[in-house]
Amino acid sequence: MIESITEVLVRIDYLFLLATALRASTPIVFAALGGIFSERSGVINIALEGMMLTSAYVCYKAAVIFNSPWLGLATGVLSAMVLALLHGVISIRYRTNQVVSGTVLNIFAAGITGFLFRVLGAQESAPYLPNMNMPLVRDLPLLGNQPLLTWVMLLMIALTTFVLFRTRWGLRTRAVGELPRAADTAGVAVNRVRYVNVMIGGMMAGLGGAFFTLHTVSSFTPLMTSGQGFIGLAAMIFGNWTPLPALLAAMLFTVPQALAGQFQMFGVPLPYQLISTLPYVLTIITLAGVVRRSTPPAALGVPYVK
Amino acid sequence: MSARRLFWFGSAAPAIASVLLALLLAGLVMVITGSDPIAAYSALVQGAFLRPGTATRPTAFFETLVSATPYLILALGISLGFAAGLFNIGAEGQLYMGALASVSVGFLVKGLPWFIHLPLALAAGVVAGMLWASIAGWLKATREAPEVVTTIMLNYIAYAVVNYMVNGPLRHTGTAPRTPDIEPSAVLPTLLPPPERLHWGLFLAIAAAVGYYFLMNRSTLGLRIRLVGENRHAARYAGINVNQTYLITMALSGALCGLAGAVEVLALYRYLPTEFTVGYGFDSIAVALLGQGNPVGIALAALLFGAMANGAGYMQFSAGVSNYIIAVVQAFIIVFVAAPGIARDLLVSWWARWLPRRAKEGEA
Repeated sequence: MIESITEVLVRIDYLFLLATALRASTPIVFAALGGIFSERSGVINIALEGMMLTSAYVCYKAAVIFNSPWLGLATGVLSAMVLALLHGVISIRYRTNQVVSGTVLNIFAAGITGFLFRVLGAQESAPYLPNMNMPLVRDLPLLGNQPLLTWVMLLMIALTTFVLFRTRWGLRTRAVGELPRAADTAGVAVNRVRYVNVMIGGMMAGLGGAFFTLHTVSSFTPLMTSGQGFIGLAAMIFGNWTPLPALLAAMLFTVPQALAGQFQMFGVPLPYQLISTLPYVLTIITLAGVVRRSTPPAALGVPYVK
Repeated sequence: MSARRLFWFGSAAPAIASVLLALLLAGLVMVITGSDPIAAYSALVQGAFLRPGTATRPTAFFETLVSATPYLILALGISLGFAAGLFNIGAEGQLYMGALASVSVGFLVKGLPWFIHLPLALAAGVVAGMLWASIAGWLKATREAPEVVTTIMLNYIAYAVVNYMVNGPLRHTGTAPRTPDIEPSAVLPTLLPPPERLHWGLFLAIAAAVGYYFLMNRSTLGLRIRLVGENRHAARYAGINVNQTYLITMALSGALCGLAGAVEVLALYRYLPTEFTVGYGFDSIAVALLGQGNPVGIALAALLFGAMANGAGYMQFSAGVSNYIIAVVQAFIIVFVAAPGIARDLLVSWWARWLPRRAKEGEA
């Protein structure tokens, strides 16, 4: 057994492994970025899962109807943003517990996508978004021939970092999430900033959802996001609500999975079910503050009343 | 306002209105997508309450009670958390761990008489659920880790552990990945001869509801839990150990969820499959919200959700409406219960549009 494990470790193509993990990280990171925008402004968002699922379905259906993956993508992202707006209305305007609102939206998304999928039927497969396989780009290590959305994900990490920490909007977002009373006194429209950030979060989740139907497989199955939104939440927490560390966290979750896949391929099965618990175990350890203190936004989950 | 009026106008009437409004909106979804909501709902009622049993098919109403049983136990557990201001989203995971422990005791321990083996198997489930929830409770109490996130994470770990055990160490020798059957001495018996499946778990659930009532309304611990839930700072001033209360509440909440898992596998499956009752733990959050902390309300909400879960199959079969619509109804119910403002604003805008027109029609 030991010999075979070392043998496999020698024979693994590590670059391929990392590329696989990066691809698998795409929806997780999108969900994490969505969570970062929403939670940095003070709104807990456990509905990312539901937003991804909704987007996955709508992307698929719209891409089939318009026969264009691009219009599918646009419609799907829009649908996730509508769901995010609902989350905003329920939790900001009506000041409902944000966890309840998120739970509602997750149940709603699971129900409505499953229902529409059954009612409207779906045999056709949707057109794919392209992979980055142009000449020159194709041969890049790690990034060559990756799905378009993986590139978009990397771009969004850079963009999110810039917006959050280098722009006025980012400062306002963080202020609203840390000390809304002070932000309000300084003239920031607290709830408006929150609405917009929750919807940007919805957009991110929407992009993540698109990955499932426009890249991975070209069809939809009910509940196909299977908890990736929650892993995104885990990556966000493990990355301490910052974009680049969230990607590293996601990789920390996906590399062992990819490794388990490789071992499987070489005929050395690892208990993949237990490896799949890694994100959750690490998140709990992070929240327990064993490694370092996790610092969520101070006003997270507290509705703002003027 | 008298207590009775407060009950009606404070909780019961809004809850009933929320259910009706949710059914109405889900009906609208059906109309838009070209299904017949009246056919669907009448099939739902048929399938949930009215269809008589046959030699091979159990009576519809008894099956509704079978479905309502885990909802009731789980929702009591979740409500207990709510009372202390804790959000136990981990009911699902605690249910899985409870089921795993019960089945393990059920088939690994042999040669005991039923009056020892059955209580032992049930207790194993209760303890497993309690310990699983206590991880989140302990982290909340000692490290201020938000229980919402830790319980979500613990759900996924529980799924994986069950999946691993059923595919690995506890797998039986047959083809399907599942555990061996439990010993007959660990089976929670049915109340009626087959094909009926109505079982003693119903009485355990009712006993749990009665216990919940006495705990919350007639005990010091219940008072402590409610005080912490109302205002933990005030509770701390009053000399209550808030963190200890969190830990105890989470443990009790998990104990009930573990009991639900134990009952499901000891009465219905009698072995542990890889996946069972996926989503019961989440639906029960809705049941708890609808029940609003009142054991009678929770029981009625559990009955409603049991009816929907049970009737959905017949609705899909006879009216051709996908059972996924039930989740849409449930989502609408929670949103109206949790955010009464939305229901009120919706209704007021409808009234505002309808009333003047109806008044005019009356004059003409």
